[in-house]
Amino acid sequence: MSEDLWHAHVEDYLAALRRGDRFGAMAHVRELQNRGNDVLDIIHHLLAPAQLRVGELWVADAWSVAQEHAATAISEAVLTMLAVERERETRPSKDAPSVVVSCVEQEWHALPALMLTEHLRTDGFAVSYLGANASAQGLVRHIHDTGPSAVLLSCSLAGFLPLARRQIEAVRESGTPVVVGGSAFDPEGHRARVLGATAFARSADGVGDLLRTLPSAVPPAAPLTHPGAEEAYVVFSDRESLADDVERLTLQALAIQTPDTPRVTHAHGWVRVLDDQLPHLVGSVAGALVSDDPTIVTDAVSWAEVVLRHRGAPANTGPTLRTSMREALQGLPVATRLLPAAEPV
Amino acid sequence: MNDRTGCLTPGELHLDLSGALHIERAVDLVLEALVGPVVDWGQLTLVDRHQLVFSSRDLLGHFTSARLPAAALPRSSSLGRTLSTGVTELVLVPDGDDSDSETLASAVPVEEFRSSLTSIRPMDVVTIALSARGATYGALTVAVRGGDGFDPEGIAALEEFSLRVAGALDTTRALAESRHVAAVLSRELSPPALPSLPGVELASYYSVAFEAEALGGDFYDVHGGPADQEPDGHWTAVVGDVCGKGVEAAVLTGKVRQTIRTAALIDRHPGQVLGLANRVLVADEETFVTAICARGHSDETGVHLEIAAAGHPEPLVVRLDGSVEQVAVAGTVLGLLPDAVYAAVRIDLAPGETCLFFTDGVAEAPGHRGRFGDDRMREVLLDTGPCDVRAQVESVAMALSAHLGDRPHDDIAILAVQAGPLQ
Repeated sequence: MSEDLWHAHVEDYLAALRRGDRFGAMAHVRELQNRGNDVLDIIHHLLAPAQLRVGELWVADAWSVAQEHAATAISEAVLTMLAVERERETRPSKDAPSVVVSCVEQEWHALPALMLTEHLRTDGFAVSYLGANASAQGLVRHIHDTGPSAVLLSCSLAGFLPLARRQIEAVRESGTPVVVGGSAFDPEGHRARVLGATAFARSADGVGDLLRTLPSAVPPAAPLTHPGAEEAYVVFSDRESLADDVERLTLQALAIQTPDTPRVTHAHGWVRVLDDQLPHLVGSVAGALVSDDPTIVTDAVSWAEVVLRHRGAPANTGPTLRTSMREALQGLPVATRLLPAAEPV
Repeated sequence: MNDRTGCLTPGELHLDLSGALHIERAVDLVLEALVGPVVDWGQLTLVDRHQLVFSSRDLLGHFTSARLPAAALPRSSSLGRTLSTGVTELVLVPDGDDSDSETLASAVPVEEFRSSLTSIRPMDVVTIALSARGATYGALTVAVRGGDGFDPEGIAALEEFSLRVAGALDTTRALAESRHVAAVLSRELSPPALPSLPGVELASYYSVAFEAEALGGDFYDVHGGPADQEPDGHWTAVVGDVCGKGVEAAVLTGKVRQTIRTAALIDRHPGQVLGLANRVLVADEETFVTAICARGHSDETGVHLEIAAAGHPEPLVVRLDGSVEQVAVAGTVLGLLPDAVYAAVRIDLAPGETCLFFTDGVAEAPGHRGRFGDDRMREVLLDTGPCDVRAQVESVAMALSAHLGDRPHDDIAILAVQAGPLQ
């Protein structure tokens, strides 16, 4: 099928997602299957691009957070249905190498991990999929029970990289190689290397080949020694109260009245979104510190700026956020250096 | 001249198996520590019930594994003698000996292993027992190019290494044995998969307080309906909370779930089900359980529920217009009063409407700004509105997870019942 034709399908599928119409979305996928497209075609040309668009539509405030949640749940249900059907048709061979696919703890973006799972099953691997928000303890228990040849960890939000590092440590303690991937990592694999992953998967394509080159056993991860590695966990464990500080400082600087309960007063305004996003924004500082990559903070603040601007925040919200974060983080020298003082406007 | 093994000292063989709690992984690590740095080839044999499990590694780092029935190994062979007597056995494989060689087969019974060894000639092979708990449970076999035999220091070093390996591997074996028992029991005690019911969409969320035990005192269950040959198509949904946490509480949830299943077979009326379960639990002095039980059926107008509660949080209903209602239903905790009576209330769900049952772990969940509370749950459901039932449950679960961070929390269970869309 041509690119243009796929584009048209993505638009139709998005229309079903916008209506929250699970049966419509499934019917659409069925039709594509009947035309000879396999699961990987559907993932690659329909589900992945649609999910990207869902994210953009939320950022642009064209879709509500509820629409985004419902759309994601529908795509997950569609993919799960396809996976179950295929498992019924083709079981992995008895000597298929077994691997575990898991999201990092507190990470709810399950779709990339689900898509990867299907890629690997097509490639002849026996995959245990642990799903979103898999606990670190559950993952380690699973490794001890089943002895997989490798673990694949998916992390979408850079703010959860400190948790990714802890999970990498836990997996390597068992001697098992760990491959990381997801939008929390940079395409060059710098963050993955710093965090001690055995390998980095840039995309789902070729992960099978990558897995075949891994050592069968790995030593424990070396301790992190770069500047900021310790501060990362200070910021991460204090991120909620730091987020409160940043929120208070930002609203003061923008001369916005600060009620005791911002959630209620600004039921649907940008302050509410700021309140939701600030723990992630502060988390991105922890992510930058633990993976020794300052661009994480720059990117996260620019992204928040765009999200808030679409929801009617004042023009100077971005620089104000940066200044407030700098102020809230004072006392943490490496963290403060990630947020250079704002240039005069 | 073979001086590789000769210059071996025990301290050189560094091995850390402390994190490798899976037996195959630990075997890989043992062979990796030996092959290359110390010897040219290694094989580890483990007795597993009536089978022998073999793993080998060569200088290129290739791992292979194989199984043979234990009866297939002659007791008179080199490996057979080590396994039955615990003594160290030496074999010399001379130049020109091929993979059919009986000499080699005596220590390496797997043919596939032998054919990968043809390039090492002449070769010295030594097999050392792995013993623990008063029995030899396996053996370590290593080969080096040479032909001059091993010197006594080299053998002593390998024996010392094997002694350490035997202790560490046995810990892993013992752990694997109890893990197997635990895994079988925990499958029985974990929440069962949700059935498929015509005209009904179900979704659930379950999170335990003690992650390490993976089991908790909250439970949910759905049974009955046409698939269970229920004549009128009625089914039962139940969510409950046994006092206590962890595996001790989970054992009780198994008992309570079974009691409720049995009670529902007699009469699915939720008041009757809870009444019967109460009588069973009163007899059991120290068990107190909160539960909410619903009998449901669906027709062309949607899903109809009769709900009875025993000291349990009241369910929430998300209507098609996006409003969220609390269902007023109350009753005494199960196991307290022998004559407790449970009255049922009726709720009708139009297609697309959802009723959510949940345990008090949701409202009690601690966070940076206090407990999650009923209000926060209602707020999340108002934000999410009427939509796919999985999205509704996932929205609550995500909000809970963000609220909790990594704080310790109580067991949490959510079960949502949605009337299916009109087809």
